[in-house]
Amino acid sequence: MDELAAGTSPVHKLHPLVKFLVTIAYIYCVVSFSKYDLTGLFVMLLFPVIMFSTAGIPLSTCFWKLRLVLPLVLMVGIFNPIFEGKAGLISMITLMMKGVFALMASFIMVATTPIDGLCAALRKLHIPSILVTLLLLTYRYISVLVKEVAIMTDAYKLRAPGQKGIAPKAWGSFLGQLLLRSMDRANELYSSMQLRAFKGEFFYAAQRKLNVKDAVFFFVCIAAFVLARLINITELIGGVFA
Amino acid sequence: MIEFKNVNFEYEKGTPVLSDISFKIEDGESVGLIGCNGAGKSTLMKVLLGLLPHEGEITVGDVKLGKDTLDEVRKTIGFILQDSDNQMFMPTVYEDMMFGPLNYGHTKEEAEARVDKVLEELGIVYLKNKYNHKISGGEKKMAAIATILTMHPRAILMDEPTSALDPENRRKIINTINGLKTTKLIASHDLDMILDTCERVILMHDGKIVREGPAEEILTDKELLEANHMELPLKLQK
Amino acid sequence: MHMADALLSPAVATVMYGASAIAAGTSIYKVNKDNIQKKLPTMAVTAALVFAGQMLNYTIPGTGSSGHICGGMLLTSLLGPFAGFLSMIVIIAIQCLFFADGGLMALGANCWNMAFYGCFVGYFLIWRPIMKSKLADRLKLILAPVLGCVLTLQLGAFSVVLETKLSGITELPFGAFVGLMQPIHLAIGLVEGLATSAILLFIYEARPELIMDLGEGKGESGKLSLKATIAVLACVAVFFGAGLSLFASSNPDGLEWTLFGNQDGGYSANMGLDEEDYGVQSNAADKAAGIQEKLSFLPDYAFKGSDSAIGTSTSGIVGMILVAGVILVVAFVPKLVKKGKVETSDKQGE
Repeated sequence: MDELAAGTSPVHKLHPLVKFLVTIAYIYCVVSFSKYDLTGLFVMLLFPVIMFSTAGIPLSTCFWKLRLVLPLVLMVGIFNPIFEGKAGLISMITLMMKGVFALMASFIMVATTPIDGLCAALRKLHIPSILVTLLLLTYRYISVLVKEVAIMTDAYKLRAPGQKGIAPKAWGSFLGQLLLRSMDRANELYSSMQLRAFKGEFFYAAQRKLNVKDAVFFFVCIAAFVLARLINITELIGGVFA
Repeated sequence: MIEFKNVNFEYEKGTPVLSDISFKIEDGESVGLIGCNGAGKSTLMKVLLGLLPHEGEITVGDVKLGKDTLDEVRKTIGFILQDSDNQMFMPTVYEDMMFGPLNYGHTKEEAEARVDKVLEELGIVYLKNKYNHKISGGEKKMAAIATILTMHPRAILMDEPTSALDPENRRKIINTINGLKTTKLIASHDLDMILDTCERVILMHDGKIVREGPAEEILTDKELLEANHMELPLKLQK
Repeated sequence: MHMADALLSPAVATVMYGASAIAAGTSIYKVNKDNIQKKLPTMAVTAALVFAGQMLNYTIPGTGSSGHICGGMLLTSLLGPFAGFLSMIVIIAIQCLFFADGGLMALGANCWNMAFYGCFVGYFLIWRPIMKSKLADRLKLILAPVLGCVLTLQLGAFSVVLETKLSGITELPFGAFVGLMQPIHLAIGLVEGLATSAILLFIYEARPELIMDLGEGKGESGKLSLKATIAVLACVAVFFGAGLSLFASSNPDGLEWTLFGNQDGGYSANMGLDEEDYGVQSNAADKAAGIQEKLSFLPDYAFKGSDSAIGTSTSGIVGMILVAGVILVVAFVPKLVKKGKVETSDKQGE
């Protein structure tokens, strides 16, 4: 993720705050479409595709993530055709599309915004500093702890050939060990913060000010979303040719 | 610069971890702190930084360590932790380096100037915008030193600065340490490194100072070292 | 258990954001009273640990399959309900932002379903009473996490059902949906409870002082905890009360009232679950309806009668083909043209 976020495309250069707000607006807009409005919703796909394309990030990078989101959506949606027949089929497809679109939009936002930029944007939105600080610190230590878990898992596997996961006997000690070590780590971390006179607020790398491009992007996007929500653009275009 | 007078510390009553520690480090001196596991080296450092309470008297510069002088002492002494991951908690090297100076009330411009100067001096300008969890162990250690140097400390404490480094990075850190003009107190089992960086050595065992003297004298004393669960530096072994 | 954005209507998502925000605000207030700077590193590292722990698969005895922990109860037992809740929010936010698990809009609902129950209900209704009881320590550490995980996951699963139904997403009847969700989460809850208890028992051997309230003296803050317990109970009651009554009044459900609404010839009519229908409604329900009205600026306009309803009008299909064409062009042509350019900019980013 960090590699993707370090790009230099126009999308990367947008102000994190603007990207964040536009993404939220997009998701709200997509989700608010009627569940039978397949054609109207379809045009919304343009936004993430344009963003991916401009950012130079291949669409495929986000698709493996769908496996996490789709099962529950599918489980809920699959019953619509059963109970409703043809209309249900449409509503199921619409539901899946909403799921995929929302995911694409948040993915492209995160993939083009470094974590510190995102945190600074959250602070601008007056999300309490304790939450943002916690987010930043947690994010930092996830990679450290994931590495430790990976090492421990390898050590476990090497002495437990053929086991699928961690056996119940070792449940407690495995994470328990790690937890105790992590508590020591937290103490060290606290020392390190104290020694550098931490007073409760983090400093975020210089965020540039909002500029005209950001404003244009913001208003054009919002206007486009509202327009697409109010007018079925797909049918309109189709009507011209049909 | 740093002075301990009859300093005691215990985690639990009746089991002293530091007992009756007294020593003095002059301005600009490099001192090695050696001793086996559990000798009290790390505790001594934490006490000196005010992370643990103590009995007795500790003076840093002309300030007596106490509750009201914590900030001042910590500004004077920089501490480089053994695990750089615990030291560097911000996302990027740059933000980590800015953290200290800003918290001590320096302006952003001044802090930025310091960051650039330190990166230049240590020859790690390329690390500036890297993510802390993406850089190698050797780079992390260099960056950790850099975060401390931006605070312009007069003395630096290091806890095992060369642990888990490959020979080339270890040599790089040794050269960096030798290039620092501040007072230094280095705790380590890497006696070869101590020999290369320190002119004086304090030998601890069981929370007490066993011997104190010139590095060449103590580090060549085979019997003394072995009596304290250590051995001669590799390059002095035949 | 993570809900995706698509499963919620904007109104329900916003209400859930509100509910979680209130819980978060209370937590921040409570946590700030302590020495927050000291707690912050512990919160962050344990949150990261739970996160890393989620990547671990535990073998589930007898089934050959494996599951992973969710962490609400574990965090609460180590950090207390308030700090635990904040840590859970952060975990859920990171999962949603960086791992596409859950969604940005569903964040509020996910925090409520997973963190609120796990931390507050789990703590005040189960953890604290059990820790204060006279049972043996080890028994407490088995009982509390297992009961806590099972109960809080059941509540969470039920909330997922309620929120999805309220959003008018599924045609699946309420009863069948509940029947599907609850048993699955019973199994998950049991396994998670056992895993949590195994971890806590290990901690108990090594560093018992890390576990909240264990061997705590009798009732020093008994009054406060009673108040908190009642407050938590009230929250749960209000949530389910409001949710169920809203649901009941919108019954049978989306499709039917859309049809009736349209036949009666007014959009506004179908939008509003008739005012009177609300009857003895809580404030929250009224508010939710109000917000829903504001947010859905044009309800179901495309659904006119049953033919074109399905969106199968010719113009619709032609339009979709054209839009698809545009999308393909946008997606692929610039890549071919700018291939060289993109590569260089990638390198700069390195």
